[in-house]
Amino acid sequence: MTRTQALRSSEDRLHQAQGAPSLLRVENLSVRFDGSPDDVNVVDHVSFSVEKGKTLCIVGESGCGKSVTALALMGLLPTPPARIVAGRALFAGQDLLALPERQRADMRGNQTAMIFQEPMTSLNPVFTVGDQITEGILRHRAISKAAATERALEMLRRVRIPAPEKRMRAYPHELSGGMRQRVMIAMALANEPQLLIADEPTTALDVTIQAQIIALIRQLQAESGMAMILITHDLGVVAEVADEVVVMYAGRVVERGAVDDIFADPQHPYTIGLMGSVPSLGRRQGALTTIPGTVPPAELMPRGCRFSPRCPFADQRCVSDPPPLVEIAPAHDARCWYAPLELHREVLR
Amino acid sequence: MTLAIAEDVALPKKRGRILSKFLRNRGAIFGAALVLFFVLVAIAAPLLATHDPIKPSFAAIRKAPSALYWFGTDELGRDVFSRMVIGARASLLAGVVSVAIAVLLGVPFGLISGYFGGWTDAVISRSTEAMLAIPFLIFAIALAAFLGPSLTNAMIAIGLSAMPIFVRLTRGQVLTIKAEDYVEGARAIGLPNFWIILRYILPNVLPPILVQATLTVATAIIAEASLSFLGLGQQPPNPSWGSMLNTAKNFMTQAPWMSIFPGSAIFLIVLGFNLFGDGLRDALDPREN
Repeated sequence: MTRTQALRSSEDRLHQAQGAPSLLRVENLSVRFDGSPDDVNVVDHVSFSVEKGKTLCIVGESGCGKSVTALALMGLLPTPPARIVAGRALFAGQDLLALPERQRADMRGNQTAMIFQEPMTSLNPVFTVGDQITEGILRHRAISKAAATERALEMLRRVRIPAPEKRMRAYPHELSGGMRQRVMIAMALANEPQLLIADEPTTALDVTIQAQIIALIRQLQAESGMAMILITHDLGVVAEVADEVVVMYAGRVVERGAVDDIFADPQHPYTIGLMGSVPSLGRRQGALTTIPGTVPPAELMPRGCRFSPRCPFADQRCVSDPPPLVEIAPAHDARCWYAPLELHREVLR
Repeated sequence: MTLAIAEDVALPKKRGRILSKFLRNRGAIFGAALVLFFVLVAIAAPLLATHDPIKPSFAAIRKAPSALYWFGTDELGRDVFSRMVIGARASLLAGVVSVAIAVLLGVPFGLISGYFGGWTDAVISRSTEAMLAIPFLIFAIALAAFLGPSLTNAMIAIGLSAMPIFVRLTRGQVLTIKAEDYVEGARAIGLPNFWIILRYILPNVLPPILVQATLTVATAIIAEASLSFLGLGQQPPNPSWGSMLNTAKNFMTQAPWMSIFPGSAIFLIVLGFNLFGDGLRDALDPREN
């Protein structure tokens, strides 16, 4: 394989007709915050696509633009200060980012739904759980209050909440974190969305509950056939649920591919670092890897590769020139001058 | 020894917790009792009045308190007790109605200003600040003088003067609540702004507004008394505590009962509303649980 072939822009590939039409195709999404330097977008030319019934995981550490991407897709970005400066998000043929607010509101909680990170604070404390689920149903469906209440009850049953009739009348503070997250899921799925965006849905929960919630989300997804974008920094969850993985760093996609490829053959130094920093059961061989430093703030963002200040392989070119996202294997892209790493043994030393 | 462990202990209901906390506060109970007492007096005023509060009696001018005239009589021979009982209505009405005006105008402005931000917020906030720059009572007096002397106009004047406090308070609260996850959650299920303001923002900003309203009733009662004292409120011959003090000041040494009783009544009802409001504030404060 020649270098030129390898450099074939993966954005081009994305535009080529693929087997199954994507439910959501995000192209070059860029978001900027007012007040940050002109050339530093918090989300920079992010592209990915999700197919019906599939799960895409967006992985990255805090501040890498995962949540901003999700909020942009839902039309929930606080504007100002956030501003979508470029890109398209084609959902069933329509560009979400170009729709007027009224139409977007009609889609939210209907065709697209979102689950948030903090179940403890994501429910209105002054109304009962039943009221809140019912409200979302009535917003999008022309049905009677009684039918909506019945539907809400059915949703509570589907998310395995014990004694759902009783819980309908419960206030949020009477429920545990896990129960509240189940309620949030019931609310999000009440109108049978085609796309669910889950923004770190298990981060605030304790470990045993996390597993339950992930299992529940997977099962509901299997039942309904919806597509899901799961945002997380828990690679264990990724391995369990993802079909496709997008690794983001400082607002850019640094690696993208099928879950097996990413785990078996991570190509970007950042992805490799992430994989090495996951603790596992059993005898440990050597210390866990850490990635030194933190994501640079917007005003100190390097001009070249944004990971270069923390990358063990970085050289002069990495600091000065941004690497393109290149296809290094079929449907597996990485944004690194030295990908695939095995072809660049000189940097491995 | 056996240890009984209750599984699934239900959290105490929020309302029950607030009520029990309020009931443990003696000052608040005393305040609530005072307020309740005056409210009952105002309601039962016609039954309690021993004499006609308006009809002069030249045979009984400036009589000291006695078995017949419990609180004495004024310079026209009218029974001070009867006038006070009837006057309680004017005072309470002025307190409640003017605060209602202030809340009904101020809270919506605050909600809009805080929720939408931008130039709407700028216009509302700057106007509010301009109004707040004028001392409350001075503003009320100026407005009352402009509208013309009557109890209704006094209430409107007091209500408008108290409005900016509510705009500012509501706006501040909205800014906090707006950032809550459940408001974002409401947007994520596609609820329209109007609905979010009504169901998600308003109920959650209400507690501090309620406390402020209670405390402002006390201020409004003093303001009404002040306006009536200046002749801008309740018009003679109808009684109000403020206007009674106005005439009583001329007879401070000859007939001290004419000023002592209405003065004490104003003091007590204001004290009552303040204690009640403070108790409410402490009971609703989540940090002190």
